[in-house]
Amino acid sequence: MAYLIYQAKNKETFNGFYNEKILDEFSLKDGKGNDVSLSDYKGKLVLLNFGYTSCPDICPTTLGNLRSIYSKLDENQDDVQVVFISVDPERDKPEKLDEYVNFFNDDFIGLSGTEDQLKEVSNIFNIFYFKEGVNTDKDYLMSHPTSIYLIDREGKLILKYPHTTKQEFVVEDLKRLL
Amino acid sequence: MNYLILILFALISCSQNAGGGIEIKNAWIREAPPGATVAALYLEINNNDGEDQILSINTPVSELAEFHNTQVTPDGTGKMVKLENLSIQSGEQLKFSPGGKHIMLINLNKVLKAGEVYEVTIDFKNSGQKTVNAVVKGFDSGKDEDHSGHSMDH
Repeated sequence: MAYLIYQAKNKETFNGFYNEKILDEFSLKDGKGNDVSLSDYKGKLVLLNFGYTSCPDICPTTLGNLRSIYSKLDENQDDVQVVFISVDPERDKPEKLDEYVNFFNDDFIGLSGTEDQLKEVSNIFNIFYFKEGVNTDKDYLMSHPTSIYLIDREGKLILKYPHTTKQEFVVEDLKRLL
Repeated sequence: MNYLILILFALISCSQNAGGGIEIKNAWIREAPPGATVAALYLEINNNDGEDQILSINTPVSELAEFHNTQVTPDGTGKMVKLENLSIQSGEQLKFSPGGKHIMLINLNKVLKAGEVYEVTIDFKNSGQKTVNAVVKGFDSGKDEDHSGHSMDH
């Protein structure tokens, strides 16, 4: 009971939306073609977001914000892993994805997988992504989650941030957890 | 070097406001990651004249440019909506900024590097063609990329 009260109090001290969820294990491929599981990051805080490299506005905006957030962690960077999951495996081949995320920071990791693997991930996070019905005249666009997800050291989802969240709010939460 | 930059910005600001009714300002393109085929252009349009309509927008760096809006549903899913036949009322301001309304540059024909300047031409139904310079900006560390100024409300 005391623990529950402690937890309830604790939730209110965060800037992000408290969204506790045990995440099932999933496996995707990184930019080098290696299989990566969520459990590989156990012991680190994970900042995760979804998108695709042909995304003009929101993905670079969020990754730019994550780049700044990460830079403010200084000596604690080793305890935080930023992960970008591409929901567009058709165009985002591992090499391309790697180059894209590393443009923002060499420590960032880009993951993607087969349609089946990505479906599994979307079920785990309870998110949606799909090719847009209305496209540009040249290519297709994707609908995808815009939030940033914060996963704790045990691999449990704890906080969610709308893409408009100010960087310092995320940094404050991370510093509280580090 | 600093003088050169000042002169460059002076030139940009002189060319931003060429005429009476329609004013286009603060145009910038975000530096694109390597291999990117798309980028976003942001700017503000002020209409100090009668109602007008945007017919098209062109840049030398992309095959196509389209007005889009990123709409986010309550569950956090972002969806892109193409804005066609955008009209601008008298006295209205249209603002294109990260995470919302933006101009999508499609099929880039060059690598965009911070500091470069490119012409952007918007064709208005009544006011005709207006050209402004847009500077390419990089990702500044420590600065909010989203300029919409929203804060968390809970």
